[in-house]
Order: sequence, then structure tokens, then C-alpha cells
Amino acid sequence: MKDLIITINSLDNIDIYKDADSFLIGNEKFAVRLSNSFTKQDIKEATKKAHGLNKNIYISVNKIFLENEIADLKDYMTFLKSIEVDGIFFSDFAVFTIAKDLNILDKLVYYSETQMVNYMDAITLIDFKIKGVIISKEVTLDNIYTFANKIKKGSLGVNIYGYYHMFYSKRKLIRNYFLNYKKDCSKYIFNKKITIKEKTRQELYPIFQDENGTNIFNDEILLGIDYITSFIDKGIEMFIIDGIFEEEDYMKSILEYFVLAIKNPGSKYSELIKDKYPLKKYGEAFYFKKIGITN
Amino acid sequence: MQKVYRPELLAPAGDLEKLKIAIIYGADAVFIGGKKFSLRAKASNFELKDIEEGVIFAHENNSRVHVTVNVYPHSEDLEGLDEYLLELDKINVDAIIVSSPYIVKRSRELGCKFEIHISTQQSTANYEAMIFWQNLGANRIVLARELNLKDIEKLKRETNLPLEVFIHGGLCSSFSGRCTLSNNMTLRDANRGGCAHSCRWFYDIYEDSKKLNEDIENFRLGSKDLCAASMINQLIDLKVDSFKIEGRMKSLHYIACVVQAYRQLIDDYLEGNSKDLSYYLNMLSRAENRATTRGFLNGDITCEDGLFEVESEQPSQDFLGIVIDYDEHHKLAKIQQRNHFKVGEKISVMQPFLEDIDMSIQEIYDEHMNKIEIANHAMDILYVKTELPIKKHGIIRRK
Repeated sequence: MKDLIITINSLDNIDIYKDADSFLIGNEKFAVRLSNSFTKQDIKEATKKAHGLNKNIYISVNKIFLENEIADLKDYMTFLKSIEVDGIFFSDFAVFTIAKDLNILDKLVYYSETQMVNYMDAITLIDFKIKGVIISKEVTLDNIYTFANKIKKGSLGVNIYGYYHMFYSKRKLIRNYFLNYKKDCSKYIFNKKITIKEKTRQELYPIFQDENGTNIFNDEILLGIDYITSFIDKGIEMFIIDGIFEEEDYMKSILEYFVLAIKNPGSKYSELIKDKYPLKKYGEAFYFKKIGITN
Repeated sequence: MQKVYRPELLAPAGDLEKLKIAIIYGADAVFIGGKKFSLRAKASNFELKDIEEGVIFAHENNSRVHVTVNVYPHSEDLEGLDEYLLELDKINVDAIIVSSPYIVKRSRELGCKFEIHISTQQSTANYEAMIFWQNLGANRIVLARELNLKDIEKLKRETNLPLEVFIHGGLCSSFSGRCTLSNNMTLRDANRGGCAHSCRWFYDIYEDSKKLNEDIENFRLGSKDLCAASMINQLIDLKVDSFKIEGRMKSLHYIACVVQAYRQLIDDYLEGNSKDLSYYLNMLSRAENRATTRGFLNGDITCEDGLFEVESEQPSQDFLGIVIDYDEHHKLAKIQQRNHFKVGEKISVMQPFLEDIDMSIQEIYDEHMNKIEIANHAMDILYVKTELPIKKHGIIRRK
């Protein structure tokens, strides 16, 4: 069953992104790379609102946790269970152990953006009766199809739209850099307009520092819209549309294209999007790029 | 009877010669990569027959061999995994170091006897995650490099799994396993052994189109190398089970220097016989001259820990040769040359578990016992006259 999942910035987005099946949100204490941070009260309201519309709320709990954060994590997951969220997207296996204790393994979706690259790891985790796994973005289209062919239980997902992530550090790299040269950096922290460019390249990579550390993204936006129906045909169910760095109107428009692509397959929707937004840089991640150990 | 605590000193080895040197200079265990499923693809990884020889040598010397099977394999890489795991088990490797949950599970399904250590690639930083790995069949956790002493202390209190902590060598700037800069920028897979070290490159930083580093140096992501020599005593007090030195691509000279320094540091502390820290730091400084940090072990990372300036590291030519044998009758040390040296040059000989010997080169002979003045062909076999006996495996360095 197709599950179109979109990240949201506010509770109002739930009404605006009415074509989505599910909404992915989180709190910055327990998640990184969020479009926005939702308080517990917000999450409770979002869940109620989404359920009222017969839609799902998924919670991103994708941080790597230190031992002194675990007590709060347990409280948070107990809270998530109590308000009956529909899914918890995780990458630290602490979340797995806590979910097992809370008897909510069936809510878990493994979502490590770099580590789910073979179908046997997916099967290993799904065998624990978790809800599913999201395939990492470093894999080829062929490998995605291999996952789909091999996995008979659980739900399989892919990122289908969004800036793709390529670096997660606990280090506060922007702060440290400017402090090293005794420069004020306060306005560059929590600032989603900061980019870095390697000296010999042209690409401007978004870099974002918050309380959890530093994340870097590719300058290209993954646009997998032309493949979504083939993914659905092969049994992939979850499709994440990640709106980090994007405005509401734009995301609404992108979502509409995806809905159209699912309803009326055949057209090259990527071209329509590229024509409409010529200043954006879209790509197909590693669908057709073979990465190896040398080049 | 309670086992006496003695931490393992775990050293890297990129080939068989380095493996033997690491053990001879005091490593309790070495970690190596096979030709398959191993990161550090550029290290001259081991064929199975070399792993077997390494295991035999290690076991004869009361040491252990851990084999890295620590890639995140893509689906197409899985072929041959069972056979490889069974081969490793058959040749009695002591442990494999693993990142993939499936490889952990599969090793246990196949009945492999080796220990399974969870790689730092998984960035395990809490007890609950350890429970997952333990239930899957893991025997040890290589901790995330983002932990400080208090974090490690808490984990030691909670878990009965042995914990391994990095003490020396290169550091990822990201959480290990969570960086694909290399994949994206060079199509080289960081999680399959192809890391291009993009975090050590030079960047400009912008806010929208405004360049923010017009009047300051380039933006950098990289970290100084880890050196936890000053914290070994505290880590021993916490009863950390294994101290890991990073660097399977490092030279034989580096391995010998670093292993010897930490061996002495650990043993001296355990015996209540510690020297001033500067003594050990001086030993380490002979290995390499890269800028160092105590990393997260010391708390939060600050600007002091980042790699902001242009590295001044120069390739060292201090490593002149390794002693293959010593003929007491003729007072001749047989050596394999590495860097050039000449008669009259002052040298220092580092030897396993002995103080360095300083001397001058008096006579040099080539392989056919012809007297020569200058040794300038790397890997040549030479003879050097020395009245002082030198142990086999001694390392000759420029003074």
C-alpha cells in the first residue's frame, strides 16, 4: 500500500499537504535534520489532527544517543506510545531496545541515511517484526529493485524527494571554525542559508549546525518522481518527501506533482518540475551512479 | 578467582610484516583487513593465507588477531560472505569486527567460533544499543569516538560486554559510518573502504551568496589526530578492556613507535612506575608529526581540536632500516634498508622492550660484503658494524 510521507514545518501543514498519507515530524532533542522542531504538545496535537483526517503521524527519532540521554529518550518513547503515533523512524539501536521493552517494535522504521544498503540487513531487522526499513540513498536503482524483490515481509521505503544528507557530526563545526579566528558566529548557527564550497568544485553544499552538531547535505535535490510508479509496482510502500530548506508553497506544489505521477503514470514529471523551477538543482542521487573504492 | 585486569593493547597492521612488528613491540592483539568486506581498501589487505600465517604467529606469541569485516556491503557485495566467514573461522582468527547486523547474525548461524566485535562504524554510544548487539551475538563493542570519560565510566558500570576505546590515530569528523562526503564528491564509498578524506579538504563558507571567509583561512571540517596518552591512566582506572590504535595504512616504523610507547605507558602505570608524560609523548613524536587532540575523551570538541591550519606534516626519513639479524661473532647487524644513511651518521636503535641505543655508523657493507660509504637503495640488504649487540627487529632511526 502506497504511503506518501512528507516532512512538515507546522501543524497547519497537515491541512495544506492534504494529499500526503503521512507526516514525519520530530523534536530536536531526539532528532536531527528536522524541517522544524515540534514540542510534545505539538506532537500530540499533530497526531490527533492527522488521525482525524485518517492520516498517519511518524516521529523521527534519528539522533545518535549518549547514555545520559537515554532516560529522557525512554520517557519520550513512552509518551509517543501513549498518544499512539503511527511510526517511529530511528537509526540508533537504543530506540530498538526501548521499543522492545515498550512492546512497540511494530512501530519502528529503520532510517539510517547511510547504512541500509543491502537487503539482508533489511531482512535481519524486519525479522524482529519492526514495521519496515528505509533504503539509504547511496544505492543504485538496481539495488533498490533487488531490495524490493527480496523482501517479502515488512514495509520498504525510499527517499523520493529532498536534499540528500551526507554528513552527521556531533562536532559544532561552524562555531569552532569562527571561534578559531575569533569571529562572532551566532548568526550562522541554526541558519539554513549557510553553504560550503570545496575550493576546486562549484557545488554549494548546505551545512547546518544546531545543538546536536553539524549536518551537511548535497547541493542536488533528489527527484525520484519518474520512478515512483515502478517502485510501487515492485512493492515499495513508503516514500519520503523531505522538505528541509524548502518553503511551504513550493512543497505543496511538489506534493501535487507526486500525486499526479502516481495517478497518471507515463509522463516525465521530472521535466515538468524542472521547467517550473529552473533555479533548483535536481538529480537522481545514486540511481545510476556506481560508487566503488577507487575512481 | 577473579581475573587480574590487564587491558589489551590493540594495534593496526596493513601487512604481515607490520603484524609481526606490532606483536614483537608489545601489542596484545592486532587488527587486520582481509581482501573482502574490509574498510581501508588502500591498505595492502591480507590474503587468507597471510591471515592464517598472522594468526599462527600471533598465537605463538600469546597475541590475538581481529579481522575487519566492517564494510556496509551493498546487496551485490554479499556473494561469498558465508564462505569467507567460514574460512576465517577455520583459520582460527580470534575476532571479526563488524558493522552489518546481518553479518553478525549470519556468523552466529554458521556456528563460527570467533568473537564478534561491533565496529565503531556503528557509533555505539549507549547501553541500550549494546543490548541489541549483544542479543544478536556480539562479544565486544568498539565504542563511538564521541564519548568522554564520564560516558565511558557509565557504560563500563552498566554492561558486561568488553569495551574497546580508540586511543591514538586519525579521527573521523563525523559520527563513523554517517559520512558519505566521499561518495557524493568522488564516487568513492566511505563505507566500503574508499574514503577520499573529503573532510580534510579546503572549503569556502557562504551565507546565501556572501562569502564568509574573505579575511580568514579556509573553512575546514577535519579533526586533528587523536592522542590519548595523557588519559591512559584514567582509562585504565575505568578498566577499559581494549585500547585501540588506528592506522592500518601507517608505516612499520609508525606501528613500532606507537605500540612501544603505549605498551610502556600502560605497563608502567599498572606497575606503579609511571614516568613523566613527556617521556611517552617524546616516544610518540618520533612516529609522526601530525597535530593531535584528546578528542571527545576530554569533553566537548572546541576550536582547539579542529584541523584549521595547513598541515605542516613532512614525510619522515628517520626510519633507516630494520634489523634482520645480529652476528655476535663478527659484530655485524644485518639490516634491510629503508631510507638513505652514510658512514659517520649518528643513529638510534629502537628495540622491543629495551631502551634505545645511540651510536654512530662506523662501517657499512653491502649484501656481498663489499664496504660502502652510503646506503641509498631502499630495501637493500646491508651489514652495519656495531660493537653493541642489537636485537632482531630493532629499528634503526636517524638521531
